[in-house]
Amino acid sequence: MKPSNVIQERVYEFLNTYPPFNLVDPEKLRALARQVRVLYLEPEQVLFSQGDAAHEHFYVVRQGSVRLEQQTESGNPKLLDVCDEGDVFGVRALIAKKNYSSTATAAEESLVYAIPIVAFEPILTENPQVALYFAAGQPVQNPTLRDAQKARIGLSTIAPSSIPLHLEDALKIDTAKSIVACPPDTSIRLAAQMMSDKDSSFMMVVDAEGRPLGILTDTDLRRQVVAGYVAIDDPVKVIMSSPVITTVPNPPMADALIHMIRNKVKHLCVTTDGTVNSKALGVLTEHDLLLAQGNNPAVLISEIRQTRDIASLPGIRDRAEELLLKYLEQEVSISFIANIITEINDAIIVRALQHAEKELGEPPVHYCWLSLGSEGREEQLLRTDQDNALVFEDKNIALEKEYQDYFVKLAAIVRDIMVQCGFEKCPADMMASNPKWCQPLHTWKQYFYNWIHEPTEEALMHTSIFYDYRPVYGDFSLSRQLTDYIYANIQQERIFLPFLAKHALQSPPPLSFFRNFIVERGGEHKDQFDIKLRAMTPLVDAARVLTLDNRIAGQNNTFKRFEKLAELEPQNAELYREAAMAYEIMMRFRALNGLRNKNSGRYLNPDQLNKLERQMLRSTFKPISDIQELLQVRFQLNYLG
Amino acid sequence: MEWLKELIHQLHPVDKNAPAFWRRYSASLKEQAPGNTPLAEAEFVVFDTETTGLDPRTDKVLSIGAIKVRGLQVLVPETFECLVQQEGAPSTKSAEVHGLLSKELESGIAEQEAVEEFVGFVGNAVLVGQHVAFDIAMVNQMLKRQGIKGKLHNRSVDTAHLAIRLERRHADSHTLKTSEYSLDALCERYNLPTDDRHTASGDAFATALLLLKLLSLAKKRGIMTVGELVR
Repeated sequence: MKPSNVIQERVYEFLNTYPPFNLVDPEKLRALARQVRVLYLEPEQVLFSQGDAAHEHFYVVRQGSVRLEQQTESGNPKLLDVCDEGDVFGVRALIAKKNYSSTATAAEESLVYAIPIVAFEPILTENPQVALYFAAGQPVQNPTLRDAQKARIGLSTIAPSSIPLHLEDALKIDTAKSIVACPPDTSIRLAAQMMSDKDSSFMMVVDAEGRPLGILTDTDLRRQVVAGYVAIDDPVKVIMSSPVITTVPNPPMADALIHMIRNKVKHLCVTTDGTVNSKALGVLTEHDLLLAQGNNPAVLISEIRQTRDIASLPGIRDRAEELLLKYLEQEVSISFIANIITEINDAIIVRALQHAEKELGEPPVHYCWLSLGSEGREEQLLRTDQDNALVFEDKNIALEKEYQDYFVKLAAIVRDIMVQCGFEKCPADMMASNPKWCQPLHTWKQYFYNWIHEPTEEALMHTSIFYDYRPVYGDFSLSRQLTDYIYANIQQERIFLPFLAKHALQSPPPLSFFRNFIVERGGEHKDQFDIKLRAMTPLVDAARVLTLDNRIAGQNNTFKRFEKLAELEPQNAELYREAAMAYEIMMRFRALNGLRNKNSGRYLNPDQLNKLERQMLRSTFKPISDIQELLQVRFQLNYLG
Repeated sequence: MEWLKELIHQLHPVDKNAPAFWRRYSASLKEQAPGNTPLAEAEFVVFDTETTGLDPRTDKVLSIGAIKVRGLQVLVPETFECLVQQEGAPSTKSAEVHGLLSKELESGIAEQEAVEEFVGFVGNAVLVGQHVAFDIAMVNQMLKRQGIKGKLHNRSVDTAHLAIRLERRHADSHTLKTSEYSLDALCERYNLPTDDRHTASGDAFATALLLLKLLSLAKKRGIMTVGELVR
């Protein structure tokens, strides 16, 4: 037989990188490679249909991807598999000499190798390993398992070793316990007696219909009664906490936890419909959650709030990182993780500000601390750099310089504490400790006025960074005034949003063509993929401009922005939901990558990803181009020069 | 013009003294598939030559790579590849680009054998190549040196021209950059794999995949037959 020529050798080399071909003896594989035909499929082109007689060839994806779908009895096609580069399909029908059991459709432009079954059969019979691959490895035989697998991919991690578990779903808190309750006129003495008898740390106070009016905890008793502020025979309504924070029965762990953290309470009252207007069923305590969960973010946060020693903050923040890794590995949903980490980071900032105020004395005027960038968007999972700003109230113009001096000092103290806690300084100095970003409200308005009405490249960049601000501490009304001002100006300046949209399209694309990640050409991160710049920033920018366009205020989080947009624009809902999901997956990738490599996680090495991960990451890029197209059309950017 | 060329060619009497391979070729050309052959049934030979330089009159072919496309499939089994022994082939820049060392070329076959086999492989298929006119001229020059009184008369398709036509860039042809229609640029634009470029076979394979893509585009533009394609 003639030796293979260059073309045939290339086909051989391609096949040889994928199972089961890499199990085949090289000379036999070369002979097989010489038999290949290459087919081009346009998007949505059907290669074979369910029920068709088997072709003489089976197929290997050379480039692109092919969907295998099965018509179910209900009439809806069920996705069995998406075959990606190197995947084999259409074999089973050939081996079993049956008709195709599914339909193969090109999911995108694809090149497919067709290999004649006649040439392959001898290999199959001679090589038990290859036979085993098809017997065991071909997924189509058990569609339900495959479905589960596919569903998992949506939330999978770089280490697919862990058990797929959505903590916040799995850990429903059991609230079906008998409730300790009394009417409001009950004496404190009697209530205390009942609590003691039932060994309960609380007493629900309910009205005649059993609706919660208030709650009495052992802490309340200690503080008020034992200290002698009230008499032991006074009614409980005098000292109960009211209104009660309520929840629905058996809430997801995540909701309950966030409820407690936000409202700074340790008890949640469970009612029939989750509001104070229905019957109280039970009480969920922080202790219940602790038991259910082990290491508890609420504990970390209360430690941060209560610690007297500012030097203990870095240690607490390190523990939060362990929690983060645990959550990521347990595949807890990103929105839950982001919530928790944001609460922890905010608590540290608040604690640092309180400490700074104590050092410098009372602030001269009201002020508001703003988190910017990813922290402002409640998406900062890893300790990347600090981005923040400070706005103080317009009071006495003559004294503004003095006010600013105070706040710059305050911000410098906070900055240094944050550095201690592992948050590096912003390299571009976008921090409140920079006098430029520590200004009275009227100056901030002036900044935004200029940015909006003269949208230069620099102005658009500043808008992208500063617009995602979120008040963390101080007088939130200052932040609200600024937001109102910005919206009013954007309404007036019609050219601004198109410019911002154009700016959002400037991020370079993630893929050269579908199969190849665009990696850095040189420098420290040569041959690595910049997931932040190439994949996440385009979605962040798009979400921001679309949010502004829809006049949604107070929603900073990128995936929540997309969810909100999906509600407001039903015609684009699917795209927005995909974008939100893609963004969450990217956040997870980046966070895990950062934790593993002890860095910002921004640069991924595509060669270190396995096929599944590459496929998943690539699939998240689809919504980017779709969203960018939408911006292009909506803001008519083709006419914008 | 195509019909005129065909007519003139048919008027040409077949040289009775020509070698057998050429008589076979001339005969097969008379049975060339008609212009209304659907693209899905047409046979194409996609090929590329590596040469000592760019002047068809003085430069010589160092290697040929070719592959057939039939039924809109690239047929890996039906490939042709040869290195050509060229005595005193000047070592030029081109040789460096293609990495064909003189030593390798010595392992090649004689020009006579190369051109006979290639013409036999091609038959009456539609010839396809990136700037195919140059490669055809190079082959014609080989024929001439072998004393053949005649040239290749197959229909031919230049993938670069076809891409320009399908992208509807004729209207603004003055703004066209040749670099946008290089094989590398086209493969990148059309998401095609480009491993192993710069060997005749590697380029022919890449061009064949490009042809599949262009044929699919052509279909969308309503081009259904060989005649419409070669135009």
